[in-house]
Amino acid sequence: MKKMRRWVKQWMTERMELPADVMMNLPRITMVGHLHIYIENHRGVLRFSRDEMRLRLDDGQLLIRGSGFVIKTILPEEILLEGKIISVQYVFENETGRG
Amino acid sequence: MKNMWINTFSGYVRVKVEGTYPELFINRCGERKIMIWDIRQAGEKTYICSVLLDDVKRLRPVCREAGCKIRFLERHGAPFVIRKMLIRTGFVTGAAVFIAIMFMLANMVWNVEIEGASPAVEHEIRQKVDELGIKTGQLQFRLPPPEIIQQQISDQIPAATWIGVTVRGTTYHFQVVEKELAEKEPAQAPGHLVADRKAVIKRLFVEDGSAVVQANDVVEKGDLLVAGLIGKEGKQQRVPAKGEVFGEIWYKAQVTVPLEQKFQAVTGETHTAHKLNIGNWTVPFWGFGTHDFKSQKHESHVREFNIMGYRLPFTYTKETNRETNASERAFTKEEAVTEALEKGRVEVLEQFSSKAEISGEKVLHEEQVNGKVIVTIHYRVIDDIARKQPIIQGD
Repeated sequence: MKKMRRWVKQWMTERMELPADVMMNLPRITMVGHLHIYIENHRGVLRFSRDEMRLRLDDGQLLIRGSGFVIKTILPEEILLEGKIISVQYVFENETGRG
Repeated sequence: MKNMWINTFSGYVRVKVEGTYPELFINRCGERKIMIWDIRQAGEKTYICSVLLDDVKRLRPVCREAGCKIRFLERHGAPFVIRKMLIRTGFVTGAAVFIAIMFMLANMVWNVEIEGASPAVEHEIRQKVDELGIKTGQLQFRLPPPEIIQQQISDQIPAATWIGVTVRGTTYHFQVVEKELAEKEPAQAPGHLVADRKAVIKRLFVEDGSAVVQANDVVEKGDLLVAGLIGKEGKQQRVPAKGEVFGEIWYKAQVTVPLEQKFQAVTGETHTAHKLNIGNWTVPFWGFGTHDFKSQKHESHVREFNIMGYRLPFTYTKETNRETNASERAFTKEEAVTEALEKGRVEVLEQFSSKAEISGEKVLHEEQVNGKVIVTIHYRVIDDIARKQPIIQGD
C-alpha cells in the first residue's frame, strides 16, 4: 500500500510536472559555492561536528563533509550551514543500488 | 532566514552545551521552536550556540530531556547594555550633558551677517540688531521668529527698502536692499498740461511751457492749463510742459458715526504658558492651569529646534492670554458730528493725491437714524489737477 502511494506520487510528479520536493517531501538543497549550504525539509540533526554533518531525511541521510562548520540558523525544517564544504553525499537506509 | 541583527535589540546569550549526545539538544530546540544559531563545535561533545534572551527560561527542560549541561558564556544586546548604563550613571550623565551642550550651541546665534548694505547703513542695522538681542551667544529660542525681526528692523531702518532676515543654522543673515536715488526721468515727449477735473485754479507753478490759465479761473475737465509751446508766434518750439497746477475741487461726503461704540482694551492682566510639543503630544512645563479670562486675546508663538541643520521632532510653544475689557462709549450728537468731521477728513484725503489738502469744510446736513448720525459734509480740497497730454503731430 505504501509502495503504491509512492508510485502514484512519483508518477504524478513526472507526468504533471509538479515540483518534486513539494510532492514527495524531498529535501531541497541550495549551495553557494563551497561556503553555504541551505537545506529545507530535513528531519533533524544526527551528527554535527566541525568537519561533518549528518542530517536525517525521510528516506535516508545527507552527509556533508568539510571543515570549520557552523550552523548559522536552524529552524524545524530548515538549516543553513556555513564552512568549507567538500562533499555532499546521499545515504539510503533501506534500499541499496539506487541513486 | 531571519535578520540576526534584530536580535541585538532583544538581547541574546552565548551558551555552552555539553552532553553525551548534544545533537539531540539541537533537534529538541528545533521542535520546540527555540531559536538557536551560530552553533559551532567547541570540544568532543560540546557545542557553543546563541540563544535569545527570551528563550533562556525555556532552555532548562530541553537540557534535561537531552541530557545536557549548559553554561552561559557571553551576554550580548540592548538589555545588557542598558543595565550596564544604569550602573555607570556618570557615563550616562556625561553623554546627556554633552548632547545638551551640543543642542545649546547649535541653537545659539554665532554670527550676524549683513549683506548688500553700505557701511553706514550696515552699522546702523548692526546697532538695531544688537538692541533686539541678536548677538553672539544668545539662544535662538529666546529671540522672536525671523519674520517679526524682519518687520521690526525694516520699521527702524528707513534707509533700506527691504530687509530680508533668514536663519541659516547658527547665522542670522540680513539681506538689505537700499533705497536708490530716483532715476532720472526719461526725456519726455512734448506735451501740454490739461485739467483732469472741474476746478477753480488757486495757484500754479510752471517749470516748463507757457501758462494759459490764471488763479481763480474756472476750468472744465480737459481744458488746457499749460501749453507745451514756447517762443514767438510762428517760431514756436515744442517742449514737454511741466508744472503743478493746484485747483480747488468741491467734494461732498457722507459720514456715518454710530452713537455707541464698542472698544476692546487690554487690561494688562496676562497669563503665559510654555509648552513643549513632541509629535502630537503637548507637555506644558511652565504656567500650568487654564487661566481663561472672560474676554481675552490669545497669542501663540511656535519655535522649532534645529541641530546640525536637521529639524528636531519637537517644538516649543509660548502661549499668551491677555485679558481684554470691552467698553462702550456713547456720543452726544455734537460729539458725533466732530467725530464725523475727523473721520471724513481722513476718508476724503484718501480719494486725492498725496499733495492734496483740505481748505475748508462745512456741515451741510445731519440726521440721526437708528442710533447713528449721518453727516453730509462739503469739502473744498486743493489738489494738483494737471495731467499730461501729448501734442499730436500736425495739430
